[in-house]
Amino acid sequence: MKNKKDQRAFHLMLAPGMIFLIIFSFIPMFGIVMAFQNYIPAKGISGSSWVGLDNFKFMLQIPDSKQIFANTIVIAVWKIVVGTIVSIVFALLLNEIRVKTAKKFMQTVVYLPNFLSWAILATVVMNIFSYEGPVNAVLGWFGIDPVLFMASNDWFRSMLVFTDVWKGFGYGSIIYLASLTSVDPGLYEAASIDGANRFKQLWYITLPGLMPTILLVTTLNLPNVLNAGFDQIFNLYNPLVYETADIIDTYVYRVGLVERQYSLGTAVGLLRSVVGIILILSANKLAQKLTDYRIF
Amino acid sequence: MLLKTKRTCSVVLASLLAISIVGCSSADNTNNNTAVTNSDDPAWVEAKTTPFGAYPDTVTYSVGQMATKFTQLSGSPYEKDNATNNAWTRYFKDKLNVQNTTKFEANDGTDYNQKVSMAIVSGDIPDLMVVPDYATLQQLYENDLIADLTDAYKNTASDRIKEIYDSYGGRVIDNATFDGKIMAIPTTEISHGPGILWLRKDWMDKLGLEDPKSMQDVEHIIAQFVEKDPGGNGAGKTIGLVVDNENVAGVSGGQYSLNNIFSLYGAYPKQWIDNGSGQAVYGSVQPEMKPAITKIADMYKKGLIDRQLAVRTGDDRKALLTSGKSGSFLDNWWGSWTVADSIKLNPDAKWVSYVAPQSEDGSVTMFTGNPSSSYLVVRKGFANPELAAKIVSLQYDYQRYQEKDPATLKTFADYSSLNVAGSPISINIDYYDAFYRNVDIMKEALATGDTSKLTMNNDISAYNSYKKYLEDEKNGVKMDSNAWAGYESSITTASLVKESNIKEVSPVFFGSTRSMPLKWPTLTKMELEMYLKIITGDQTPDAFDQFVASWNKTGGEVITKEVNEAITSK
Repeated sequence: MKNKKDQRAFHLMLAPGMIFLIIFSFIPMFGIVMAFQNYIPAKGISGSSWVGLDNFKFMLQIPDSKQIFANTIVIAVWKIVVGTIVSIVFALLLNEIRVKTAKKFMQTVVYLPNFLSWAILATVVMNIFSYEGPVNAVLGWFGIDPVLFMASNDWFRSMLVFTDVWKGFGYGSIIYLASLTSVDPGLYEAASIDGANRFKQLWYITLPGLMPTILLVTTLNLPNVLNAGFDQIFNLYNPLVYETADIIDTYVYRVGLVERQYSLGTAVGLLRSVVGIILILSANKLAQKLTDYRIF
Repeated sequence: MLLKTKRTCSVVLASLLAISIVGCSSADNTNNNTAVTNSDDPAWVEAKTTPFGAYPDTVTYSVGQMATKFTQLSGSPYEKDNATNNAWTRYFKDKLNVQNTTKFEANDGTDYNQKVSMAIVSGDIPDLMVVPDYATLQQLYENDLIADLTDAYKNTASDRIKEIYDSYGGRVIDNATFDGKIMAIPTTEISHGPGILWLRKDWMDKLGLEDPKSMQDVEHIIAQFVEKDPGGNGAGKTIGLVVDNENVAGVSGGQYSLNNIFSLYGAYPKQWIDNGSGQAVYGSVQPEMKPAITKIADMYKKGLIDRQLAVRTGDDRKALLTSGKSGSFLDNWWGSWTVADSIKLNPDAKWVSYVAPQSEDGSVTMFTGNPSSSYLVVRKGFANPELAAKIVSLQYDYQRYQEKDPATLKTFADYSSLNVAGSPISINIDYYDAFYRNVDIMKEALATGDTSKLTMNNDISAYNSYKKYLEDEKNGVKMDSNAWAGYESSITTASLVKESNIKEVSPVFFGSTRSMPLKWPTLTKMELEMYLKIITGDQTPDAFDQFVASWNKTGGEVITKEVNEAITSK
């Protein structure tokens, strides 16, 4: 009670963020009731008729629903798995560089794509992998017929995972680099005296030292399995690859906003949020069990 | 402490919620009724039954309108103009003795539609407003919120307005008619015309190619473009026909769309058409589709269609054409605007339009678009429902054709040159064939310099710009790309269309049915995938049969039934 005054200042600083959250996250939540209505904008929420779980039932009847859920999960899981591995490997490699400026330079360079929006990167990616692009030019030197990567159901998912990892691994590796600094240097000294080479040191000291962080980050990624990356896919996909790349978010966008099926869009979004929160809660429990870390 | 904070939080949240709810429901419930009119007074009777007669006393009407950017007028003599006092409202006041008040104002599009929805929800609609779609009109009619305009239209609309509606053969007025009563003054959607093939004439001349007529001619020209590389793009770098990836065909007046090739085979994708025995069927699943799409897949295989069509964006398509990577696209009559920039990049670039590919009898078949998309309605209980007919008569007939006062015309010309609309009523009522209707008269005027036969007031200013374009061209002055695009579309292509043998197929249904909201997105997606997969050779044309089967199974059959029910019940 004594330092109530001090706290007031902190609350004041917190206020803009909270107000923002209330206006843009909490108040719109009342719109969730649309999921249980046949919502017609002209009639508004108060005037639209209630339809119970019809929207949810319909959602499961949509012939595409299986495909869309499968796409979402497959793409998201691949992104998490490949993204984690690449980030770790990169952090370990970077850690081995002894020239400080080179290390910082590399770190900055791979971090940069993270700041570009997909709207821009999509154009770059499209050009690199187009018929006239550099990739097909190189393939041409080896006498391979050009491949239209972005319009092929065989390639598109790999392209998504590849470009997503390329954009994000610099950012992802930062957290691993940070936890590498917390490994006791004494251990390395002792190991080298015992005659362990660099690779052995990495295997027996660095990796075990990194394990808690790896587990934590992976568990915290769990809720993302229903989030396959709307920005990226929306900017890169085209009707030809709907089969392998249409995810929940892009479907909701097309059906909910473009086709103006607000209730159905809300229902799909709500279901996603419910599964999402279950995953977050279980991830929290899991993280607590495995690494003794809790988010809340 | 903690408890107290929690309680404060809940109070704050609750009050926020309350505010937001109050904000939604507290609408202005006052009705501003107009002056009571004496129906026996001959002056009133005359005003009510003539299109251009002024009311004896000022009639005030509230209106929901699209916002106009009056800020554009700053620096002009009209800079103090606003929504209730501008060139149009003064004109209405002057001619009809009517004055508007603004009930709500919103930007075009979603904003406006929301305001209309809110007005309907609160049950407090303005005396006059434009509703943006058929479903809303239907809702207003069913809730008994709008006035019957049958008498107003019959007695008060000007002859030319009626003539214009007649040019659609009743399709438009029927659209606004419920149980035999005309409930709205509908907007007219002028004909988009047939699909137009745009080709690089300078390339054709270089290769000594003749003007195309049949499908073979078209294929031959594109093949020559791709093989011989007249644009100097480097071997194998010239791209064939540029095609839209999301609407390969099936949009009236669609850009980069293959409508003409489909109609050559009697296929009308995405249209609800009459199958000849009075049944409405969906064009995309008819057997005529298969040979058409087989042909297109064959063209793709030969490289006559952009190999990367699936991944192109709108900007990509435009860039391919303006930069000279491709010299052919199927579009509409205003396609010259799409490629106007090519002249800036390459002064030798010369695009010309063809009504092609033609069938054996030299005709091209087009399907017509939705004839009406928005509706002017009058609130039930408004004392002067005929005002709607009077205003549209003044705005779309008198001002356009009969107004001769130079000062008045100058004001409107100034407004349009500053791109300011101003009128509280923004619909459009124009002849079905508006884009090529007067092209011969215009051409004659340009040839003789005699403008006396030009009927519309806008024609004079158009005449002046065409005249300047022609003079510039003659004197070898560097061409302005916009002037070129305007002349090429409104004169050259319009007269080409007028002289061509065009057949029309009118779709019988444009609305929505009960199952459509749920099933249509899936069916559309299925259809789109079918086009692209077959065209790009991912699947053989035989996959079309499979598509038809699953289309019917996934809800197409039910929807077809509903569409037929909706047509018979109308």
